[in-house]
Amino acid sequence: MSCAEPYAQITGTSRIYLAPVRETPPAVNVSPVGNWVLLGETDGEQTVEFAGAPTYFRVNERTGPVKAIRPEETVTVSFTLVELTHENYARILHALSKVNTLSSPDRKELPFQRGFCYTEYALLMHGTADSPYGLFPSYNYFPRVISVSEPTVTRSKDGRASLACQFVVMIDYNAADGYELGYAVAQTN
Amino acid sequence: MNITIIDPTAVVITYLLTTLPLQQACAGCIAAKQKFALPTDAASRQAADSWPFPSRALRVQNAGGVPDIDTSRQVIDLTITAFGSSQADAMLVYRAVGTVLRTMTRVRVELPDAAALLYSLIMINAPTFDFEFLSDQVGIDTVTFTVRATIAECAIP
Repeated sequence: MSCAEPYAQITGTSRIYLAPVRETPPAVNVSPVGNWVLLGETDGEQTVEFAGAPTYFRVNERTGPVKAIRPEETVTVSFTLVELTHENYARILHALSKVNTLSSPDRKELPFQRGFCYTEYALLMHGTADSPYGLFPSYNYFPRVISVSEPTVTRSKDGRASLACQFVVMIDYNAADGYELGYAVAQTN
Repeated sequence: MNITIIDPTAVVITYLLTTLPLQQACAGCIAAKQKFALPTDAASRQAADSWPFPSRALRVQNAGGVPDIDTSRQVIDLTITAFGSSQADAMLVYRAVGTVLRTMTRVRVELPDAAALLYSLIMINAPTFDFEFLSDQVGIDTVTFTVRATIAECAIP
């Protein structure tokens, strides 16, 4: 068994940041700041799923497919958020602007109706030592996402409420060819 | 191909020795066996490379685990015993370990003969108080817990 590429085994979880849609990502060796907001602590697995079933073309003379195309594709980012401030809750349900800050007594209110339209964000999954080429940072950047989360928030005597979050990546028309659904960056030196 | 298989216990001990919370909590008293000083004077202790008694210290021992037989990683469980002059004192060491584990990411660890890559170090059970006798009449408070280390099997460049 080869031991040549120990760095290529990626371990641990990344930190998830949100920003206004199409926010420019930071340089790979710089921690996200400015409009990038750390979404909070997550629990369990974080996944990036690439879906898109192929359509096969066949001919009578062959047993196997002779051509395939991918008529549609979807990139989905999923994780479970456990840091349930109203601000985080709102970012998942609809938008931060829906949180109302009131007084007497000081309080924050979070309306539950999500409405017709989705709020678009940019999403960053950032790891400080996640590069497959060494102990360097790495991230996955998605310029345009919407939260399609339909969480069931469960409270129990011995459990913890959490939000199962799911973001679907939308095509960013402003991005370069091939980068419309996001991309990964890893520092190499 | 000439490869160097890494000693996982040495990696964890060496890494813990480099962390600031544990340097502050137990001042270098981290080893695979406890070294509490049976010599009573300072010169003898120094000669024996032993730890003052009582003091805050950490023992890191292999405790089995399920090996990764598919990829070039070593996955081992380690029983960690935190020592202190009281239960509260031992808990200070435990809390320092917790601080380290909460913030660590993949890290390079320099050993005398090679460099190692420590992928992760996570706590897998909660602490248990105990009292460990070092001789017939002398003992020390302990807090014991288990961590799981994942380490690249071979040395890294």
